[in-house]
Amino acid sequence: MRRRPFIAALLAILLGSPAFADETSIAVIANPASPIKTLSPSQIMSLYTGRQDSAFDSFSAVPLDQPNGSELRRAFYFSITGQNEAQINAFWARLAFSGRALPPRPMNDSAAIVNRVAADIHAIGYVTRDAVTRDVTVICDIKIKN
Amino acid sequence: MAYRFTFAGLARLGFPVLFGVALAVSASRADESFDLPSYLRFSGYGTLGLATSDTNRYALPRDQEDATGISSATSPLWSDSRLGLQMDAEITPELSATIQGVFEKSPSISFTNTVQWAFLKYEPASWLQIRVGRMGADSFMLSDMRNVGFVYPWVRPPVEFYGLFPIYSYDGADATYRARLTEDWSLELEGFYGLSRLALYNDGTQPSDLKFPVFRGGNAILRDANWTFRLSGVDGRIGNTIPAIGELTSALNGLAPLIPQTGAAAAAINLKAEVHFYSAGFGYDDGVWTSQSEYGLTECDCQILRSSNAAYAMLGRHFGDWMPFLSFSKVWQSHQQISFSAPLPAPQIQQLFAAVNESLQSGGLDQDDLSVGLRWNFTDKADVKIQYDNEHVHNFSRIWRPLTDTPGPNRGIVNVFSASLDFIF
Repeated sequence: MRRRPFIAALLAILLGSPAFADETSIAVIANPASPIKTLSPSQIMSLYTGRQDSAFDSFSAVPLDQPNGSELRRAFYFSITGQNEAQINAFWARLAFSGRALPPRPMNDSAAIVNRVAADIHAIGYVTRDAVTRDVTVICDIKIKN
Repeated sequence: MAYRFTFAGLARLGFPVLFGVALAVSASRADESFDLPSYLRFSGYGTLGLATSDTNRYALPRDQEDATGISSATSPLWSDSRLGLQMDAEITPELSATIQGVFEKSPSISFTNTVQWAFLKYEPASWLQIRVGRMGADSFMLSDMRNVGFVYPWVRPPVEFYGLFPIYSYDGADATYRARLTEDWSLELEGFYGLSRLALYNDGTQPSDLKFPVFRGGNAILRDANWTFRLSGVDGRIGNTIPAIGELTSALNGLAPLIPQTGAAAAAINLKAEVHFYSAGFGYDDGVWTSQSEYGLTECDCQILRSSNAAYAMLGRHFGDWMPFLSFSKVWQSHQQISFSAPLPAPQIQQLFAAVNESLQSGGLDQDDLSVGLRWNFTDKADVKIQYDNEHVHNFSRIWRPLTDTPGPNRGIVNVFSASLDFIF
């Protein structure tokens, strides 16, 4: 496992692409026991931009985030909203500093997200396909847009 | 509860030190590694602003609570600079607590700490949010986030619009209902009720407190991924008057049994009245083009604050991390102000009625502003902005602060030059 990021980074340098260029999609994951079995990209956008969606009416979903400034976070938000990271941060700053909603909690890396999702029925995260383990369920594939 | 209290220690420590520490925290991206219990979140924002203008006759305050104002004769640092710190505690998935403090320059040399927000939030379901405590007055598109420079394109929200609505926070409760209408569109309906007060720095030294024993309103927001449409209405009842007007009113009322006209003059300068604010606005951002526009109408059941209209329109385009923008804002009044002629030639009566007319005239608003600016996000949590404003002022009375006893003509053109560094962490 440890060597994968290194190989990916090497590939990225060689190909001049993001560090997960061998991936074409980002996996959105949930706990296997979660009643949420599938979500559309638009519902993922609602979840990660603090919008109401009936999918979360009867069951609260707690979104987890990749670290600020990470390539995966940039690609994820750009793919679901078309906005860059500064714009997304400004969007969340509006909600957070007006006391409306807090942004998804940033975790240290994909492994931390997988571990948390495996342990918490409410948690939802997004990771590279290769980080997905048998302890979590993929509920949506987000096609990467660049 | 006291709204502002001075931290003598903080004053000695100094805003630059606090600001530097906050900026360093922002730059180091240390937020993820803060060793806080997982239910607590610490965050903040700040702006280091510099602004000056080409006049030393009048200063342009950022808003009614800005004691300094922008001019070539005042310090360029204090109108836009501030630091906000927020702590959120997620007590249960449904219940959380938020407290936010804002540090900014106050007229007495020290720095003040304003407890901007302190409230409990209860979300029993994703469609309902209830808050109780001290909250931001959510009256216009930017009203509960106008301290946070990182969230809007300008160095400061248009003074013609936001400079006139001074209420930042209120104590009370609000409820927000959220509904998904279609796959793309959602609707939010909010109602709030409480009381508020504000400090007016009209003479630039000692603030006068204006109390709002009733402050209530509602808004409706319709949005999709790119568009936001918003309608709102707010009622405030002013519960007291400011000392200068109070003294004048007592003098007039004292004479009313002898000179009936003084009663009408006292009624005209009465501040204890209902004020209504209505607004409609929209925002658009598709990641490339961004635009925001708003119209507001202020009405008062009193003569001294005449009904006024305010509007602005902004268009910007993102080029990666750069965004040039153009903005136009305007405030105007539809009715001419009334004035009184002294019923007797006695000098004291003449003086009294001159003061009444001056008070009535001081409510005058008529100016527009064309501004161009450039924003550069040099990290994903910090920006630098520069902005030029060309202010056409047809009445300096109410927004502007005279800097000398004889500031000169009551109309003119003022050029304002601003730069700021904004960050969040």
